[in-house]
Amino acid sequence: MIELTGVSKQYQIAGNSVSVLKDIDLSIEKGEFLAIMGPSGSGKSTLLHILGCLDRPTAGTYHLEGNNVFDASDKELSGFRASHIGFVFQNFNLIPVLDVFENVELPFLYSHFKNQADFIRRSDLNGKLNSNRKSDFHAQVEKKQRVMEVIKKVGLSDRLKHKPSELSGGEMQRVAIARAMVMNPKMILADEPTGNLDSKTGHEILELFKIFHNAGGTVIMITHDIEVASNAEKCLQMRDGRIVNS
Amino acid sequence: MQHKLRSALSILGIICGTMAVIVMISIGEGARQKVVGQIEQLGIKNIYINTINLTEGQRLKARRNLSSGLNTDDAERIKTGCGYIMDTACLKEVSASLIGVRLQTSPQIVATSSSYASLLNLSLLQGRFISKHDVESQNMICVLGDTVAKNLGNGGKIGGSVRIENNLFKIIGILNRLNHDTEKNSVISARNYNEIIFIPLNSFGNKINISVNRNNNVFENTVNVTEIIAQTSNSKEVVIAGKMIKRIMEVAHNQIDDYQIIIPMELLKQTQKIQQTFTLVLSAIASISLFVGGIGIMNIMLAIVYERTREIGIRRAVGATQSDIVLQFLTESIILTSVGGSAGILTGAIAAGLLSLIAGWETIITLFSILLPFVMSVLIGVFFGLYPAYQAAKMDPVSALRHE
Ligand SMILES: Nc1ncnc2c1ncn2[C@@H]1O[C@H](COP(=O)(O)OP(=O)(O)O)[C@@H](O)[C@H]1O
Ligand SMILES: [Mg+2]
Repeated sequence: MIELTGVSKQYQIAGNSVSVLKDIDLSIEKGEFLAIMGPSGSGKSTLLHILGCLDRPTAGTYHLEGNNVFDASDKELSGFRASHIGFVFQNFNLIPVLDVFENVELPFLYSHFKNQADFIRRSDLNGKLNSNRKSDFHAQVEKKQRVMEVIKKVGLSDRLKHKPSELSGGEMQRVAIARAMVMNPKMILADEPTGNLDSKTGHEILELFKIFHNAGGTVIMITHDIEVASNAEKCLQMRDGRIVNS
Repeated sequence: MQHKLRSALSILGIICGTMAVIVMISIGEGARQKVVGQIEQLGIKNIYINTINLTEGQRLKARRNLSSGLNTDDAERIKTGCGYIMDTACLKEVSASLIGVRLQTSPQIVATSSSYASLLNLSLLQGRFISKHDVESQNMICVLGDTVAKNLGNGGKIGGSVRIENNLFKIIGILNRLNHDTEKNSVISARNYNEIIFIPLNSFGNKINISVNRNNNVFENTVNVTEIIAQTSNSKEVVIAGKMIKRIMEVAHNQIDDYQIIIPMELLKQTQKIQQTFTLVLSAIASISLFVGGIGIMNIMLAIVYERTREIGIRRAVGATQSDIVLQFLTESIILTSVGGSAGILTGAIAAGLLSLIAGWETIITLFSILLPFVMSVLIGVFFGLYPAYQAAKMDPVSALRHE
């Protein structure tokens, strides 16, 4: 599904170019659970952002499901992020003025009709949602059902109207995971999702990733915690912008 | 939304600007309709030739040059000499008073020819207007204005009579009521037809004999008049007809300027010109405050965009395209300016109302005067919101997410 060859990323800082990623070759299969470890500053986040089509490599090729990301337009990449990729961050990154429901609903705002129909076809909500010719109203109702469903999945059904500031760290991360899962993406990319949480809460969060993975989703997770990484099928070590094992 | 106060302050400029626009248009429209109304009362096809009061020196010179002032002969000359003129009417202000009745305001008594009513579109409530026959046979009849008739009570009905100096005039007609602006226009204003008594031109014994050596004096009943009204068939012809009349009059009066020619249509053009400068000044003020208001909007939008950098990163991460981001901030800026615009329109409408109420200026709020400032405020939202929205859209998503 993911095919990186010779990917590198450079930043220009005060006239000097700094290599953050150096000649990375990587392939990830659909349905894999991959952990990425490595010291701070080794380029883990940068790699994750490139994998998530949020950033582009300076050199090298990145094929995502056969599409070359380097050639894709902003619109195409955004569309891909909206419907196929879910991000989870260490610092949660929820929108403070929106409540739980609205935060989870957010990706729908940017999945345009094609993707939405796509979503409805892919999701097996009631088993009979296969019609392409859904009215707007139906799509609206199903959207709401879907949002409620993922919020229930992460166990926050009683917090719908809460603002992020009224939630604990673990709860905020649950909202973020619900948001990442709501469009039924192919993969979830998580950047130290348990980094700001105590180990008990961290384990609960990890369970949610496992549920997604067990349903066939691809998970790529950056972590500093060996124990967390041990849940993954594969662990990638990074150092100075290179993958040192595989 | 910690920006509420700052946003409110930033739209002040928009409020002032749109307020200026709506006030400007409604004052302009009020003034225009007022002038148009006055000019329509005077008649857009009409040309007025009025007597001027001469000084002693001028009068001597006039007498030497054998000009005897404006008279019915002039009307005949104009009618025959100028092809554009379909009809003329003569009017003479009579300084006489009603006898035997007490009225709050004394009506103006004018002696006119029969064509006066049709040239000025006067319509009658009852009875008829003075006829040609009345003028020729010096009938002692009169037509009353609405207020005069009402004030006379029972005596002011058709069949009754009024006494002017030593003569009894039988009432044969009463005019329909007309709206009359009490305010005086600068050059000429329509007469108050509610406070008027019309009598036939010849009936008050003011005939003069100008038989000295004016070879073209072929009319027997020559009467000195205050005003001649000449009507063209078409309002487009009044200017050229006015020039011809000027020439005819110069010859007839031996170059003595004891008259003036006034064309209401031209007055309309003049007032329009004055108004144009007025509009220009106000639009300059409006555009300056709208421009300053727009800068204020841009300023607050840039602050909002900066403060919501992380939100932009989040939205991009979940799939927002650059155009989604542009649209989002453009919408916010348009909401800001159109709220300001609506507030400006509202306060402007109130201000226009107060101007009419307190200063007595006529203001008319038209659909255009509401739509124009509203559309302008929306366009300002687009124009000045575009740069901040573009700044938001072109942010690098990764750095936006890292922003504190
Ligand atoms: N926008 C940027 N401009 C310049 N340098 C950057 C930028 N983003 C990241 N870096 C640098 O790239 C390196 C790798 O960063 P990152 O991928 O976040 O590492 P990690 O997630 O492994 O801690 C760091 O040294 C960081 O300073
Ligand atoms: Mg990192």
